Amino acid sequence: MQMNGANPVIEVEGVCKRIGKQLILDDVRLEVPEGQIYGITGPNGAGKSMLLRVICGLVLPTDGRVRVFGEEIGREAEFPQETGALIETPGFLRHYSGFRNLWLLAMIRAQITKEEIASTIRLVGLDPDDRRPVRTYSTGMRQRLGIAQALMEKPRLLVLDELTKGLDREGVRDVHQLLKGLKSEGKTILLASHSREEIQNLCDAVFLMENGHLEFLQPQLYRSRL
Amino acid sequence: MNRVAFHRLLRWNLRSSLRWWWPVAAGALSSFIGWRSALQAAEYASSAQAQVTANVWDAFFISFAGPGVWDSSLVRMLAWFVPQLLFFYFIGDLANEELLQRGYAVVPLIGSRLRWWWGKVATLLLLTLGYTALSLLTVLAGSMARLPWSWQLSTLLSSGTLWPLPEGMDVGVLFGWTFSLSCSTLFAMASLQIVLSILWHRSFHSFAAISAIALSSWLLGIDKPRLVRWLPGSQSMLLRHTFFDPNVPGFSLEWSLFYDAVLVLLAIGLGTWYVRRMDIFGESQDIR
Repeated sequence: MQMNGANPVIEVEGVCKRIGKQLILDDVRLEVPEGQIYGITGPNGAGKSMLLRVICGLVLPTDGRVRVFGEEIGREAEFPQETGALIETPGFLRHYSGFRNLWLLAMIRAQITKEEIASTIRLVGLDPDDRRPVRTYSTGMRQRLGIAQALMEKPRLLVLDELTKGLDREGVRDVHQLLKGLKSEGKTILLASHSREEIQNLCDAVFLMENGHLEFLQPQLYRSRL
Repeated sequence: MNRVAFHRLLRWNLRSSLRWWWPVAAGALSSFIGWRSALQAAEYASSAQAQVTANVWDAFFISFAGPGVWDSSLVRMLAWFVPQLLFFYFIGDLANEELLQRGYAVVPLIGSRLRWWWGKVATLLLLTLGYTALSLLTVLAGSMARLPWSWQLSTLLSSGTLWPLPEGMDVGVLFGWTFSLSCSTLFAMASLQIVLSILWHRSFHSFAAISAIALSSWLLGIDKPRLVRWLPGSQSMLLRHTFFDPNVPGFSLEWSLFYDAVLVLLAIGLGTWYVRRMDIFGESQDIR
């Protein structure tokens, strides 16, 4: 299901995921070209988060293949390269500040500096000098920190699940502006969302996930189906 | 993908899992146990018929001897059990909570499930070594509040008044065996605990299970000496070994190290088998 001629960053071919007797993903096919924002919407329990987890290499498909940047996930690479992800509620060490949480994560690869972490935190509207522990953060602040964590290592692909959950109106607007800016820098973004506004405002192509099936929605059908 | 250097992974694991109050709590508990054991040793020495003196190694031995067979004293059981319980509590969140809360971010950054898992195992080993060393040293420090330091076993301990201490036992051998058995048993039980926590996706359940196994081993071993060598956790009870109690058959110190090694290999092997193909769902365990 390739939507234009650009190189696909994500290629999903006939992916199925079965857990016990439940078929969560059923023959899912998707191609996401470089530099585009693609959106997946659908009701709760449709399989959106599961598909994002499969693309990120977190969940192994029962059948089918996923390629990200040309590498087959699970065979050529265990996890996709240069990919930042925010899957559902971001989790942090509750007794550390937001900055310290990101700094600890950045220690794993040691590819970015403290200043780069601080500037990413500023980018999402938080204060890197805020020493309060994450347990005192509001849901919206944690979500912003989760976005910063996905962005901090400057990935070329962003996989974002329910990105604006817990954000107020202003926060949603800021995040949408941020995503548009990232798109203009050439980043590829795949997001799953319940939000009709988000999907309409941001996405170059929209897919509907229902009962594990993924279906492309023609732009003129957005409004009637969402 | 560039592989994360193992030493960096280890440093990261220690930095993100250690809490400042852990050594404080562990040190305070062990000092208390050492101090209390010193009181007990001094009491034994003063009530002994022969002319004997006690020193810190008596308190050290009492602190780490654990409950013997036919001994149902709760106090001696608690001195053996509570320090382990504290360690099981410390490491309860080491693997499972990280997987549930931050697994989607941490494991891809590390780049490999197996590397993540081996990082946890190595971290657990370092924590066990550190915890055991701290416990042994703070027990000695705590007992020095009441008893004199010496580089030799006291006449109380070496006379065999209280325990049939075998020939050839000196301070180095006692310290070495105590460290080896405490450390290997703690590592074996804790390895089992973190594997269970990953398999069950429940840190508390695995903590409760491993504590129950340790307690069951104590209970079952009280009046069944033949069973003792097979019970997980008994390996850190010095007094139940044939070395100290000839009534317990086939429970040598070497057997305990072998038993712990097998338990560690089984636990780590099971963890490796599970982790290499595991799905990382996150906290909600929402499979959609």
